[in-house]
Amino acid sequence: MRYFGESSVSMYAHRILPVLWWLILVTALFGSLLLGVAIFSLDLGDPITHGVVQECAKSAMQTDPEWVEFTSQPLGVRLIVFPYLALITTLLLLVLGKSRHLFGNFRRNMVFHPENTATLTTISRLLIGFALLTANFTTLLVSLILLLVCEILRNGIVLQEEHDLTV
Amino acid sequence: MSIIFRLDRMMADRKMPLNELARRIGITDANLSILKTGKAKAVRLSTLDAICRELDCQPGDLFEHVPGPQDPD
Repeated sequence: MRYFGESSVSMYAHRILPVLWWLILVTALFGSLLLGVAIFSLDLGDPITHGVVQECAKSAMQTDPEWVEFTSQPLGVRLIVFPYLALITTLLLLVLGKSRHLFGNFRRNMVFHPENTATLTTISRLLIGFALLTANFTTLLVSLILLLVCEILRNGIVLQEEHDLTV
Repeated sequence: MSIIFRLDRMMADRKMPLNELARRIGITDANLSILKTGKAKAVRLSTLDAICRELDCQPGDLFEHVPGPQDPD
């Protein structure tokens, strides 16, 4: 299996990531819209959507007690979910965008390039932020390992440069 | 760097063009150009051996140390 250049893992990732980027964006927007309808309908008592939301809430109640707890909170507290979701989505989209850039460089066989180290460091930092926001220990661990890989890559770039300038 | 590689002077003395020397010592023109312009960070002993053989000189004839501001003397 090839990792760099054309017809490699990098090429497929470079092609798939934009699709994933748009998919997440659309899902996030659609999800926010649904969540907004659900939150506001419970309070405003909208006659059109209230019945639907009540049905959804009833089915959610049976399966997810967190939803029940969430809906019992005051409106101000419930609205905090929007900036939280927006932040998580933004971080995720930035990670995917930066990853696409990285895979683009790998596709062009630019592996030991200073730009890649900077991109990978940014991805690691964004993932650390994502891990802290979502309280995901595994992502945090992966991000820290990625930071170490950045340092290894940085050393690799120095060695590559030295190798290129050794005649 | 305080070490100057005097390849250009040695080549001029022997009227040896860059591409001809590159061909004889078995490296690319681009790499020999890196060496000639002083951009190289290191020289392999095998390359140095080939240059000395083709230019009929000693390694000491190719290098010169010019004390810079960071040198102790």
